[in-house]
Amino acid sequence: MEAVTRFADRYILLLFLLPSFLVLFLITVVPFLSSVWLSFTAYNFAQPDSERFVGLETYRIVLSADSTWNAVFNTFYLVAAAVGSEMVIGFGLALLLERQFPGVRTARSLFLVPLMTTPVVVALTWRMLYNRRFGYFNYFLGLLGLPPVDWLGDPRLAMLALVLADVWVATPAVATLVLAGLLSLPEEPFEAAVVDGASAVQVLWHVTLPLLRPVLGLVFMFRTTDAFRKFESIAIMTGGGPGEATTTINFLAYNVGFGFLRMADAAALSVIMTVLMLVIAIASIRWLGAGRW
Amino acid sequence: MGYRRRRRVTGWLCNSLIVAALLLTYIPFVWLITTSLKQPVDAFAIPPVWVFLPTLENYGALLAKDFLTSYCNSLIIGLLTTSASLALGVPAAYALVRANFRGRAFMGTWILLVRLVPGVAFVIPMYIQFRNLGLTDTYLGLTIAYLTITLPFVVWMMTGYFQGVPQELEEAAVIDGCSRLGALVRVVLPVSTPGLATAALFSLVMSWNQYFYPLILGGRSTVTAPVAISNFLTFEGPSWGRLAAGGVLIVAPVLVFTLLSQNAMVRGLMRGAMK
Repeated sequence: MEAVTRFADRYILLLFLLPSFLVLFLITVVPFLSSVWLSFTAYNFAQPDSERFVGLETYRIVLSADSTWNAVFNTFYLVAAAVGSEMVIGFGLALLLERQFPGVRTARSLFLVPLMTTPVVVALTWRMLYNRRFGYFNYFLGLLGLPPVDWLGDPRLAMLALVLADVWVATPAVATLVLAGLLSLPEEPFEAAVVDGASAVQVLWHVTLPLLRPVLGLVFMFRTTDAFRKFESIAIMTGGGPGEATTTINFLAYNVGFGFLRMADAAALSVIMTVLMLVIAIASIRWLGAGRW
Repeated sequence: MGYRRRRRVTGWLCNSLIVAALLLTYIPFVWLITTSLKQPVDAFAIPPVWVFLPTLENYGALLAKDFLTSYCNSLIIGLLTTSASLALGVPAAYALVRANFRGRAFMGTWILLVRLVPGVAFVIPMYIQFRNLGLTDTYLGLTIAYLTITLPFVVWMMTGYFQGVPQELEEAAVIDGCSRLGALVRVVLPVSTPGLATAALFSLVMSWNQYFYPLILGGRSTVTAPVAISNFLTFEGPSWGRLAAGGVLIVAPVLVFTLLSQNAMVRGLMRGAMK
């Protein structure tokens, strides 16, 4: 009797899982495998008969193009500069918010907003703030007696401008998530360290950071993968330009595929990008112990 | 004495740093709102005009255009996506937590990996297939595309939530003659209402914020609000007041939701990293 119910139970639970499994299979595994297949063809959307197997030829073309390496460089520049600053400043802000002060609850609850805000609107806002003639950035530079700067039009500054906007978006959220981690840490190790006469810096380095490693690893993984596939701010603020100064792998794949209809090349770029992101994710899980699942 | 004074100084310093961070975080929002209430003359004034006669002209001009339609499109697709994600994701998350079949770890890892694959890798084949199937520029097509983001997310978030629901609760229900489905619907789901609400809100906000998929897979009859506002930029030249008004209208609901449910959101996001 019990064996029968057990069996039926198992069956029902599998039934719960099946629809999700099928849908996810159809909308993720199948498209991804088609992308992999497309990357081994010469498919161009404008030439319907071009979907024929060419082996690694597409990868050879893509990997020998200067714009690909430029995009790889830009992507790593963006990710390193943005995520690096966000982790450092966000951690500092979390430490500040961990203390008790009047209005602490309100202050803590205000910092997730920029990350949740519609990215297109954030990008539009920053585009206007960066405007050469009417933007507030140049107005404040002027107040300091500095000449106006073409934030989004200068190839040396455009990426920095994107990084700054990303830091604005993500740093408060990093602080909020790290703070949640800080508040969940056990008290005993800290008490023990203080009893042993550890200084504030020693406590931070030898107690807080090691205990917080899973949280920091998870936040690092979230941020890195998000920065990697950043799209809205590039599309709206710079369009990948000036020239190709802010074209990342993600944006290049979009441009090549939907601007030039070279679907095979775009697919190859997206596969390369997926591999890079998986490496980063696995590294964050292995080395930083991000999460436990 | 000196020690205490030093503490008071650092405390004061820390508090002002927090105030500075809050100011930096919210100034762009303040700028967006004030610009949306300005006449063109004031919007482009340098030095900036801090005191001005507010006008709702920009909002009126927006509503006279098709902005309201795109707003509704966003809302419809968001609701469709959220319902589908919950209907599919909640039972799946429950099964992942309660069942002990082989492949459970595999499913979990897979769902995590899906979250990490860039949208371009999915969208290229989708674009080709959707054109064959007539799914481009339809609500259904966009809902399917959005599910690639929201479904894994709902499963992931609800798994975390269900793990915290004591199994004894359901066992008691089953002993009282409840079926597994009955136990889920009558016992587990009511206890999990806050988790369900957070997952639903998150998936609604994620759909609302989408730009990449509707840009590629959408069309004239499914223009979403973010796509519509980015079109102002190209078609109308710089009308800052109207852009800002559109921005405020898009962001307002997200802002309210986030401020209301931040704590639940943080808990949902950080499952696994915190005990």
